[in-house]
Amino acid sequence: MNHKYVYLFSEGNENMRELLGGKGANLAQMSRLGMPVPQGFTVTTEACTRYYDDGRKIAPDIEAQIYEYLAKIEEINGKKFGDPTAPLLVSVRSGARASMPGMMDTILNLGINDEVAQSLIAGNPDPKFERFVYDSYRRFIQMFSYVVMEISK
Amino acid sequence: MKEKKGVKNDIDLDAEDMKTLVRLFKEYYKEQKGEDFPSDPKVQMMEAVKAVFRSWDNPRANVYRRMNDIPYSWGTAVNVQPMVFGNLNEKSGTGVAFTRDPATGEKKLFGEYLINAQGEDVVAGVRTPSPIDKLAQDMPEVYQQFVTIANNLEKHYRDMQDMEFTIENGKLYMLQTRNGKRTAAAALKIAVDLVDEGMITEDEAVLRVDPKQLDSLLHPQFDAKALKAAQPIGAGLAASPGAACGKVVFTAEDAKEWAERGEKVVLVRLETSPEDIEGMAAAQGILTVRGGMTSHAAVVARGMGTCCVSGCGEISMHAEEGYFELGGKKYNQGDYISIDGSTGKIYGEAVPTVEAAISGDFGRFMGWADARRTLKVRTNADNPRDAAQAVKFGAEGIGLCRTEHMFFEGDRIKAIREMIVSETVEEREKALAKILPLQQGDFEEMYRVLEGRPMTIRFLDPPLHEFVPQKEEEIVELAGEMNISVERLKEVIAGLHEFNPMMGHRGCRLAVTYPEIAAMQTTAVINAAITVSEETGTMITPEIMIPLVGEVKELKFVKDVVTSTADKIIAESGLDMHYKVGTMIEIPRAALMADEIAKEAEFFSFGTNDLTQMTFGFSRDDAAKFLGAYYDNKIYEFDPFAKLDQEGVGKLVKMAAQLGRQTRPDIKLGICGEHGGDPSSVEFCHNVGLDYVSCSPYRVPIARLAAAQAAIKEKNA
Repeated sequence: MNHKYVYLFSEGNENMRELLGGKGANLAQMSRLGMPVPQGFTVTTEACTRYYDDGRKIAPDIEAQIYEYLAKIEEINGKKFGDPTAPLLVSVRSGARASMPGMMDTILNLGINDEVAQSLIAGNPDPKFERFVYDSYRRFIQMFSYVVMEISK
Repeated sequence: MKEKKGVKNDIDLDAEDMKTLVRLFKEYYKEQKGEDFPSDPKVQMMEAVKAVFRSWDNPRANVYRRMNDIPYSWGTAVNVQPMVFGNLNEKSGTGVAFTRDPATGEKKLFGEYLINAQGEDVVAGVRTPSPIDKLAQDMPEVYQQFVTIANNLEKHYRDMQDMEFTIENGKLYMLQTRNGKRTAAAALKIAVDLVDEGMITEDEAVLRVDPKQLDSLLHPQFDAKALKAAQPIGAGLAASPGAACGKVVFTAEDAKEWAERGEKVVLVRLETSPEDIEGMAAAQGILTVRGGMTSHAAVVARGMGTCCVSGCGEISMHAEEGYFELGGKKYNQGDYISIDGSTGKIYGEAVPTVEAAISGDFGRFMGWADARRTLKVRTNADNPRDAAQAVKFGAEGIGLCRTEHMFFEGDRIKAIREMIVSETVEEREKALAKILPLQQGDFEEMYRVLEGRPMTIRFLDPPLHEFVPQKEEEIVELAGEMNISVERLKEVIAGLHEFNPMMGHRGCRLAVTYPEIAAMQTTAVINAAITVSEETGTMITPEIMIPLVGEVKELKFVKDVVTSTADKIIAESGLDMHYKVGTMIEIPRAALMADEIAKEAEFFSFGTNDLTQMTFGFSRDDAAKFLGAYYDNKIYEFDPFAKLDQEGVGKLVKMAAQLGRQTRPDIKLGICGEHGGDPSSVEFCHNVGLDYVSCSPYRVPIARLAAAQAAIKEKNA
């Protein structure tokens, strides 16, 4: 079997800081305590180490696991990535073993595009909702550009 | 965009504005990248994961890790989580809360939230949020649920929690919890309170407080009188306690630069961001125009123990023109201001600061620490003032008294210079006779302040050129005073020139060439000890330390001078006084030959500053030039002069300790470099079985706590 690089929140706990990072371990623990936590997954610190070992590349087996877990959370949450009827939007955040507030990058609203934005608006006639969708969209483009492509703010 | 519409907040922009922004951002992206913005969510996802991994290696993360001893090898995880929207409508919101006040430690839910906003808005400090109590009115049910969760989390983790939450259309979601960062005062109060509440043991409490943080408790507050006289010109939020006084700068780069040339600065910013971290560390205080108690500036400043006033919206910033306005007055870059991070008040003048007062929690907490540690903590002090301060902070003696520092004060330097230009032993002894009573007086004062605590006195260490003038007019003046020709003095000074003074004629080499210096210093030490022992009725055991030894025979040579002088004086006094002669281990050869050296040395004190310089083969004063490149290329992760290199230099320390004990099982072992006050280095000293560490007075409490933590960790291991 392949080495496991991705864990659902429901598969972890607070003692797995080294692997899941502080944030990931605590999200898992809060889920375990029955608290309201949006159910997602954590890509491990080992995957980060491999990213660097492999010359700053994500290996195909890790990529495959990420997509596999993405499908799992789509199912858990009843939404799908890029699906116009029930689109799943996610946040992508760093989480090291020790807290490093604000030192690394965060991306919110990932999964949005023109089509998704249009369909979201079509489902809700409230004009305020339209503003909300485009607000989310522009935040995403802004963060993504800044962080992913290293374009300045 | 906000400016164009003439509005202050994002919330005042409408849907059409947002659409325009989306288009503009996409166009900008294409312009910059030469390709369309990726619309496939899977592509977006993989790029985002890569970006997070990459951000582990960004410059600010590297600086943060170095400051906080986080190894590069750990890596970061990535959390992917379905979005919940705090910016969905007016029944939505987002916030950050602590189960106890992170500034004072008071047991009370503390936090802030914003209605109709996403998480980054609270943390970035772009809008100023409402206090969490107000949520009880806005959404009573959500508030109740949140209070219950917060209490449960604190009980579960048995520590103060820092939580992020989002409310989407009236439904609460928890997005994060972690042990909250807190000020030193809050850390102590929370640790003590949790013990009293029966949640944790005293051992756990001792482990809960970061020793480095104690620093801020010991740091300045405003002088009460001066503060009364000062008129505040405005106020912001009391974001991180302490007092700061300094010159206004507007950028992190300036803060760093000015601080490097010795200026005290207050960094004034609209808001801070993670790129500002080095400038924030260099500043005395931080003042921001925007942002709440959980803004970046506030959180980072509390962590660093730096004073911070945040969210002073009355400030009108003109950073690019080099000034800001507040209370109808202009303050230019370079003008003095003072800020009070405990009250939030801002003063448009220099208000002098005074040292901190220590609370009752501190005494109780440090009592727990002292009961657990086995490593003794001494201080490095060369004058009675520092010695008294260190004793107040709990120092158990002086581990390093540098005698040369006493030579610079007042008229003494003249006598020293007279000794240096002496051509015969007789002349030199005459000059030394003038120094003797002064040095003896210094030692007497030190012994009185110490009230029976031990003191290790190191004999003259620096090369003699440090005592002579280099400028022409000073040389002429000195020649006149000394009644010798300018040429003759210049000859002497030229003769003292060395190509590599660090490895030149210094340390015990001075005593080998001029044994009369060692004899004079011995006389001063023993006479002082006799005088004060007779005064107090408590017999002092002087500890004499011979520096820069690399060979047992050179130690023996100097030791013979010491013992013959000391024995004679003690015999004449008729007292039953004992004394010890030991050495610094600061040359790699001394560490290698420690078994031989221990035949003569009754104690070793590891001088890890020199030992680090000579083991690495680079000097502390020049390392800054290239260490940056070494960090960037991951060759070294930290400054070996700040944190002991446990692998290399540490191996020498460990080996010398073992060799020394082989020869002399009761040999006393200590460390007196800068590392004596660095928590991870203190832990190392505990683990290799040293008897004491010695550090600067203000670091004594840090070393006491670090030593206690090392002992507890060893017991738990």
